[in-house]
Amino acid sequence: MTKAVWTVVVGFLILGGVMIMAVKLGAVAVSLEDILQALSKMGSNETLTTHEAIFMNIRLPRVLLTALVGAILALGGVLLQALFLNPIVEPGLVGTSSGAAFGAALYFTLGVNLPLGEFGLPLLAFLGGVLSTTLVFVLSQNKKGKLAVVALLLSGLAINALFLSGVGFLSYLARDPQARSITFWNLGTTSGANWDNLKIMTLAFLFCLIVALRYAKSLNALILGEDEAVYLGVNVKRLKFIILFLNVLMIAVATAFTGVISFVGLVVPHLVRMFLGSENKRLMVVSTLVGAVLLCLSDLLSRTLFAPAELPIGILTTLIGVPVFIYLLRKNNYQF
Amino acid sequence: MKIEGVEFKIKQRVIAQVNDAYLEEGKIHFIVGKNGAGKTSLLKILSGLEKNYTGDIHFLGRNLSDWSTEDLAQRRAVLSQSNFNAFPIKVEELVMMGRYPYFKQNASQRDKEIVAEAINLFNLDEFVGRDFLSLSGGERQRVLFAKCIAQVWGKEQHRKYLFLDEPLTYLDVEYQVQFLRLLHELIDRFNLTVVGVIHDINLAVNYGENFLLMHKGKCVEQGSASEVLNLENMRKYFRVSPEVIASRSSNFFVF
Repeated sequence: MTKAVWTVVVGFLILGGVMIMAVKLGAVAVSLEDILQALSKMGSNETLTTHEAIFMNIRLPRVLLTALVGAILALGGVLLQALFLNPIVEPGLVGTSSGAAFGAALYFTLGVNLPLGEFGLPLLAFLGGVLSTTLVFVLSQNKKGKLAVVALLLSGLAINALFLSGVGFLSYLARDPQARSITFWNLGTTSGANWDNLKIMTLAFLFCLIVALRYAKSLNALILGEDEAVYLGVNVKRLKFIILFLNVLMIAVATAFTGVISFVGLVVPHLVRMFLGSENKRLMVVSTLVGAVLLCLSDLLSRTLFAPAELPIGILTTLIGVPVFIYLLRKNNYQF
Repeated sequence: MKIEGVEFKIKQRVIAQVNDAYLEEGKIHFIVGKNGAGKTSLLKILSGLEKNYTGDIHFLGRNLSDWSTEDLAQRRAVLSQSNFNAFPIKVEELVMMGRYPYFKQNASQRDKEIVAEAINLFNLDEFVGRDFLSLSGGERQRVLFAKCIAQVWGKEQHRKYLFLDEPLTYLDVEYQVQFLRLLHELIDRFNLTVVGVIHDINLAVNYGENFLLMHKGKCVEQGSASEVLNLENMRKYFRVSPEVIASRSSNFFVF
């Protein structure tokens, strides 16, 4: 227990350090003084200086949003891996991202004219993500109602291909600025952060984390297989429904605001499991922290590597994630 | 436990059928029969996993189908032939799962004590902290059994059931005998009723008190060792003619 507590404390300290660094660095450097000044002016009517405004309205929401998305993707990975008893399942594999991407493409090409306001993009992306993920899960159930990993991977493959070709078709139809928006969104970016989408994402994350922690014990029992979990008093049907619901909810929300960011949900739980074992409560808490730290670092890199130009964060996470993934795959002889 | 007209079919084919059987509490009941005779299916029905059967099973004062998954988990444990290897899990974490039906979020001090005692009972202390997947087949079986005992631990409450699906698989002769002796001890200690599927006829005869003989999905014989596992039935249902050696307690078969 104490070891776990220390890990969490250290994790929070590292996250805090990384977030402060991420807030300060960028195309425009923000000093600690600016940060303290800006914070002290909160709630009052004093006008902010340019640097203070950059911190308050751009940097801070962006860093917070990035941390949240990292946490959500990692938690989603933990949940899906525990549910499918397979360490190489991640949210991207089950179609959520491609569905959301399709929803976003629909918005960029057609939805701009719809009376949806500024939430048109996240709304359509969310609906797309829910639709594609539901399709994948329905297709991957076998007749006995058990979730089969191979069926899941294959249905995921098919549905991903379907929705991505839909995205391709819409990009083909789109005129240039729209097509560029679609492309950029598909590569993932947290540059659209603001206090409003931060609120929605925080709510979704906290809700999902609290509910997920309540089911950590049941997910542990599931490690022994579905039958064993039933013997240990777990209502497996209900567990599956709840976990899938949480997953669709938070991944669709995250993807809706930031686009497609792959491999975080796959690699983070994997790494944490290697060091701390498979106990799901520990895994959830530590993975969310590690996910937040890693994505903040990636975002910092994506903003500063080629400053003032910005590298889409999804490209960076994939570049880092693929070699790690291949290494893990070759190191542990996985059976399906 | 009383079984009345139970029938379980898959696509019109009878997988397990028991017309009328009574499993007295506090005894060891063994389900015997050839491969594919429906032994494991019957065990899945009796332990509450398979629910698509017709007929009635009375379990601890209620119809088995009326028990919730959660309540049932406090009254019976199942040592199944599970095969899992997806994620590493520590021995003590696995044994603690036996206490899962008794707490919501965090294990109580009592739960931790029970886990420690169960680990000690099966001589597993040296494996504490080890990954379950790094153990041998026999060691794994002992850990899983310790988990089941942790689940039915405690005499003060109610009578509890222990279902065993081929518990002796992977065990050395030494541990097979030790296991069955321990089983007898635990029955008295925790007020247990044991229902098991077992392959080794001689061990079954030696340690069981009541027998259900399954043949082609149907329970064809029920009763004591001499009533069920006699030479006539061995010939009829197992298609073997063993030599019979009488010892002081029971008959032994030499195949």
